[in-house]
Amino acid sequence: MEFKIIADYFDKLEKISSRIQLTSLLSELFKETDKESIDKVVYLIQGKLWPDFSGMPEIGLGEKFLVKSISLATGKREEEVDKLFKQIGDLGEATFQLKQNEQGTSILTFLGASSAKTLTVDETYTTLVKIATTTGENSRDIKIRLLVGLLKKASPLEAKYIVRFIDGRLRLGIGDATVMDALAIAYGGDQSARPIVERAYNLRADLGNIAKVIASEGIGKIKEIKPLPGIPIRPMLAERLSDPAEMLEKVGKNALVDYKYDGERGQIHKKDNNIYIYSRRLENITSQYPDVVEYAEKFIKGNEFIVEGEIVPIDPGSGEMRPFQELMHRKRKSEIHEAIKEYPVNVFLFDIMYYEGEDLTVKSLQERRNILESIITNNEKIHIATHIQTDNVEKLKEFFYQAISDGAEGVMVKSIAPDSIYQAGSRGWLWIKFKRDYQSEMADTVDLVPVGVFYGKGKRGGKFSSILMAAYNPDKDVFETVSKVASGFSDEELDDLQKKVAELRRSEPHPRVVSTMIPDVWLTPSLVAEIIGAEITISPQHTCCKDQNPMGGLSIRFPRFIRWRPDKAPEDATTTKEIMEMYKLQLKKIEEKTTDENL
Amino acid sequence: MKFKVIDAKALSTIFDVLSEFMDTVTIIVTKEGIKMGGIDPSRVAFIDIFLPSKYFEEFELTSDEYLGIKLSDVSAVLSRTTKEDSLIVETNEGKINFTLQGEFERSFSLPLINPEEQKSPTLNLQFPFKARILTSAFSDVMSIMEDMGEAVTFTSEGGKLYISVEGDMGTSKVELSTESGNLVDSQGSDASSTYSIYYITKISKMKSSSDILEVSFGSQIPIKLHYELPQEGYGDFYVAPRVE
Repeated sequence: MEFKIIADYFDKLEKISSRIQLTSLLSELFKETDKESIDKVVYLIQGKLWPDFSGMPEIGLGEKFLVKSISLATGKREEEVDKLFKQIGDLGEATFQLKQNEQGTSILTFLGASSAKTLTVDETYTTLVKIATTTGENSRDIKIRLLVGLLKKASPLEAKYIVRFIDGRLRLGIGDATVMDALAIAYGGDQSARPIVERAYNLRADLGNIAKVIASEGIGKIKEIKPLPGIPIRPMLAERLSDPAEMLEKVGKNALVDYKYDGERGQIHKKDNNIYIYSRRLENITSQYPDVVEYAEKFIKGNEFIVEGEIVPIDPGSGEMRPFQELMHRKRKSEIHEAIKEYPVNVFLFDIMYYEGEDLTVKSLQERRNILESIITNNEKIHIATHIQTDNVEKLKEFFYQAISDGAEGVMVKSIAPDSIYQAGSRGWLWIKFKRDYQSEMADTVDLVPVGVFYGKGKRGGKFSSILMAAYNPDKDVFETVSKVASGFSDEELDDLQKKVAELRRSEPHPRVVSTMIPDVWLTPSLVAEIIGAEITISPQHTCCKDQNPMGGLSIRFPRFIRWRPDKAPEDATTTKEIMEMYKLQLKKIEEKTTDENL
Repeated sequence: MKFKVIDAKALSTIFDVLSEFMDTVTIIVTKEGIKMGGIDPSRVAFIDIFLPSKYFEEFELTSDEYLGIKLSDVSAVLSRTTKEDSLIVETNEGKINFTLQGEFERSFSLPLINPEEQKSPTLNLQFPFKARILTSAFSDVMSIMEDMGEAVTFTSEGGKLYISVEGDMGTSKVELSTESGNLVDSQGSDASSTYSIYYITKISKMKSSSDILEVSFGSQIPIKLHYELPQEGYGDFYVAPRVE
């Protein structure tokens, strides 16, 4: 299959924004695609070479080296490439323009070999794979040469998309959903096949694989698709409610109630004597948990399985659960073996989706749990999640408080009815979250301003562990601290924050920041973060509203980061006055509640 | 198959230069000697290296062999070679073994990879101008030029060789001639052509394997850098011209 077809479609796709048109164009492209190449085409459309969970490397050529390659391929000086790039802000477009009057010559011209052959999808894909996987001392030069060769052979339009792909800026506006729609139309004739495509994708979160099955075996085949160890399943998600009685009602009275652990949710797969671990976001996190790999090999019986559980940091001394943030130490690439010793983990399994060739996602939770319990050998590392079975609201509440005091986030209330299948990739009422935060009196989120950062302790330091947050006092035009936030960040947000800290760091407190706490790094107040907390309490450590209260300032307990609010200026943050009002309102509610309960 | 060289550094330099151009190479071993090279992935350079059997201190071979090697690995293994080392290369059951003998003996074993299909292309070019120069002098010129710009122009005029680079700061030009003693000899007519300096500077590292280099070029044709190696061995590097 010629790469030209892909480039032409990319060119058409980027000019439209209507989803219906995108889908129909994409389905046309799929119809024109050879079945041997369709997985590659799906990955390329998504701007990647392989699914994220594969753990394979990225291309690894930065902008500077892209510029060098373009210069070598087109015969233009690097500064010329750079200038054009700065002018139009898109290296792909710059390459397109430069290629139209390129000046480089190929040695092939003088070797009597023809260099006019067309570029195929396979050749393009294989060369990109080579660029990604080349390692060693001179690998950068080899990567450049491979790319130069590819760009030389490519037409201007093809080169434009190759460069954009490597630059990570394909921006076709095509998400998983559109690919699924287009596959359904291309191979099923219309949208009616979409639900079975989606179901297949939920069971095997690899659209390339799904596309290949559809293209080579027909769309009917994917009705029978089963999970495959080595390809993550999209996790089943829970709804949320705050009233325990309503929760039991929703799941059909009798419920299995599991502890909701504050750890990292992980799928553990076994296939061909290998163990793979995937995160909730379907990333391959196997290398972070060599200990879990070992436990799974030792303590879970069977040759092929997919189980799911929570990986929780444990205090090596007391055996008690430690905060989820400690798993951060497992993210580093080197010295993982030291991190294992210092931050040991236990695994609490709560589900099984596949066992020895059998798809268990279609079985009821009761059946799944029975199988899960039968394959775990007695050990101290891998456990079944602590649970009860109940139809009683009081028992549920009691168990919830026990979970909280044991260090869990809350509980999961799960249906055990005959239809309680594993709904991969979807949020439904078969599972309901019962978390402490929803019990709280603090119903609304607040917008706070980071004014300082605390780093991790000991030799493990270097990455921040929490952010000192402040509310805005408009009367004095200062920021008064109200909370130390350490949880709720995704990996991306954490990385992003490292960059932000680097930009905003200062050696002394900002003159507009009022704080008695001394963070490791002070920040210039300029960002705004949305935070949810469990409740507002009096704290001698914080300065928010301290002048109005002899006992101390106000503090938000159990704060969790929700998202950045780039749309807000620091002066738009929640004011100290508002926090005081929330505190008073909350006191009133507690009073009312006490009166209620007394009645 | 087994061969030994007294000057390990010279051979490791050849592998090192090759590794800057390609990721893998197939070594063709025949009773005449060793050949390796090919077209680099960017299709700008063509490399043809020949080491005759008498280049080696010892050379044992029962039948022709095609050995696929990963150059980055070989280059890493040989990176600490010194001038005092000699090198023995042997193949054995899908592996290629390197033994460095010097102050102490070090051996390394690397897996052989599938040899690539060899279509040895030939370049039949008539070069209007040729000159011989010391490899160290050529390398010095190129390292000065490297910082000045990206395209290097070779010009011959009345038997003299001019190497120039046009950069942001202006033009720098070096004149080389037999009269001034920096060319060993020169012959041919006037010509001029421009090449990417990125390729030429990488090739000029060959100075550690060879003393004399013959530079051949013409207008709008590739440049040929012919490094003379002992016992009639050679390292030929062809680089396609830039069209300015």
